[in-house]
Amino acid sequence: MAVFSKLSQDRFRRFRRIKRAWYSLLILSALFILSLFSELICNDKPYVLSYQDRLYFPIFQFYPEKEFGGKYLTEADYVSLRESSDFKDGKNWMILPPIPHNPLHSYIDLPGTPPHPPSARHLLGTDSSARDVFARLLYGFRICMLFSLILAAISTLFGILIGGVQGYFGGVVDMVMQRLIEIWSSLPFLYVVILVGTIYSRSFMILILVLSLFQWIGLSYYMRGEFLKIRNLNYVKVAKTMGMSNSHILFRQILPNGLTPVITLLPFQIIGGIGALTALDFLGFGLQPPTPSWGELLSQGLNHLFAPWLAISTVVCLFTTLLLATFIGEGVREAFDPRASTN
Amino acid sequence: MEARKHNEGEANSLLEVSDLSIGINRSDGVLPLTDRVSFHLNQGEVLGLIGESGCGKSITSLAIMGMLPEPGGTLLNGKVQFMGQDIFSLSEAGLNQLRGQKISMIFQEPFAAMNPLIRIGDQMLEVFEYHPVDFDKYQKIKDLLDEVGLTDHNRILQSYPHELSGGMLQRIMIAMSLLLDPDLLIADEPTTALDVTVQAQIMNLIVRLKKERKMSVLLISHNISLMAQYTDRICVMYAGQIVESNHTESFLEQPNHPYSNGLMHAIPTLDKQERKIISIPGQVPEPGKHNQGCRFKSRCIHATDLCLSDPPEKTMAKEGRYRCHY
Repeated sequence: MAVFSKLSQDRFRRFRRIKRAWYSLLILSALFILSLFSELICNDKPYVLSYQDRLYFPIFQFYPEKEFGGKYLTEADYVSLRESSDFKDGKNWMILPPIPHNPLHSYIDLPGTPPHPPSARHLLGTDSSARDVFARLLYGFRICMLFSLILAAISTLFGILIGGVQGYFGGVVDMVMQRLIEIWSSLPFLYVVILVGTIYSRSFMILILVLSLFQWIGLSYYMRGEFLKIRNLNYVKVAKTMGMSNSHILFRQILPNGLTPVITLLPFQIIGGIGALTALDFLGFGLQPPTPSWGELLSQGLNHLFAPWLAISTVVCLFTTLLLATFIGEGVREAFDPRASTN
Repeated sequence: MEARKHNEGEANSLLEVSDLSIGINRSDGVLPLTDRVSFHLNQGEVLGLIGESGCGKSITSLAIMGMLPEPGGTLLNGKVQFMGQDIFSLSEAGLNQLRGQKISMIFQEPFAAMNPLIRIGDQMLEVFEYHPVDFDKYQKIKDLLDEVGLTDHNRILQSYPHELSGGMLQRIMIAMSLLLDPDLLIADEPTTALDVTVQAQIMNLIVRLKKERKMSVLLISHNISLMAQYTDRICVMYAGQIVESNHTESFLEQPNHPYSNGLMHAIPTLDKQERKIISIPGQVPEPGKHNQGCRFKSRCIHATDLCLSDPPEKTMAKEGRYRCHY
């Protein structure tokens, strides 16, 4: 049996034919996969280092400064090491990643005061703490995407579960749950984030947890509708008259047929997640500094209007990501539109 | 059982529905949908249940399988006995055992009756997941497909429902409903969605399979010519009640209830010169809106004061039962 039904294959084919959406998906996935390997692209630790005829792999392992003729037991600063006369003299060499910057490292030795404008060494300049903006954007992108993907997964799961239960059982169950959801959705979300963040520290997982408490609500409405509709269709009745179990009917008959809103809403859930995290970071209620974050860069840009490279680069990144995700969402929606299926 | 086929002895019947009243719980109280529906079905017999849309035919037929309308359906009165078992006393597991295995059902819309995401073959095989059997499943499916006149097994089993025609799907539905050799087949308007030539093929198929398997069929339809051709006995339902029940021949000769009469006259014929189709004036009263008296009174040309005040009950006890004062 094929994993994907004919219908899904048709939809996928239709999606691929929508060039804008298909390429957006390719680009965004490529960027995301690349960003998963940020440590290999953008790092101030070399892949390989040869010092006095010995090979070191600093990107995978910790070496103290002492190892390379320094004074301390702290991690060596490989970029300055490369520049040092001691290192240049011998047959020592190192291979650094293409962008030899760490998103958390402050380049306080740069001339002038931070934020520094773009230069050959820092392509997009540095931020107010003299950290490389490109490195922070790259790592920020990864955090952003991971955050919104996990958030979308959790809230989709809750949305399906709760909406599905409401739609399948209907009646009193549906009524009571719907009222509870209405009460829940009227909770001021930002206050909850601030409160929970204050009490339990603003970590990645806590933020996801708090956001997913609210994000599932929209999807649950759709799932409720789908389940209500499908459970009255004849094939569900047939399954019942054939003596099939409730769980079979729920998971095999109804769920796969009710997944359309999940898939069409997924890109928009991701957009929502990126937007939410950026907004929270911008306001200072998001992830703990010094986590690389787009929202925090944006707020720096606002505070340092004389350093436009901060705001411009961040806005361009944010805009591109959201645009790509929107194109994907639009394409998915179009591919799933039954009225478009005839042509 | 065979010998007593035409015996009215109700103890020997396969299916015995007595005084079945089903309602729906609503915020403003219980809305009755059917009112003391009683009929029986002997082994090897075809019973026709005829009536307009919304008169309670489908609700009654689903209740035979222990399925009440959702949400809020309740059993108000009466019982359904199938092979001596009280359906409503069975547990959900017991009902699931019965469904598909002893009683199965064919629905009106073949397109809607198949899950669009699952191949035909897988849908048929899934039935066996819930009813383990000791015979060869694949052989059984192929045999049945042959019986319903579909010989291109592999292509059909590999197909998704939207790749097949309505007539093919209805044949597949019939094959699927017979997978476990049920004793009772409920056919809820099996041919309404099909065109006339396919309709005849499907009905002939059902009747042939019924004969071969000594199965009973409960045929639900609003098509009286279909009934005349294929049933042994007929029950006429109106507004949640059975208003007349008789052997098909006697019924066709002499319909007793004015509603049955109206139904018979509504069949357009070719030999009549007038082209106007005769219809029964008015509409079926909504459930819960019949006041006292006969439920058909507002549409009956013979209605008298007695019909307005008293519900006709007595005549239901007579031979060739019908629910009318006259």
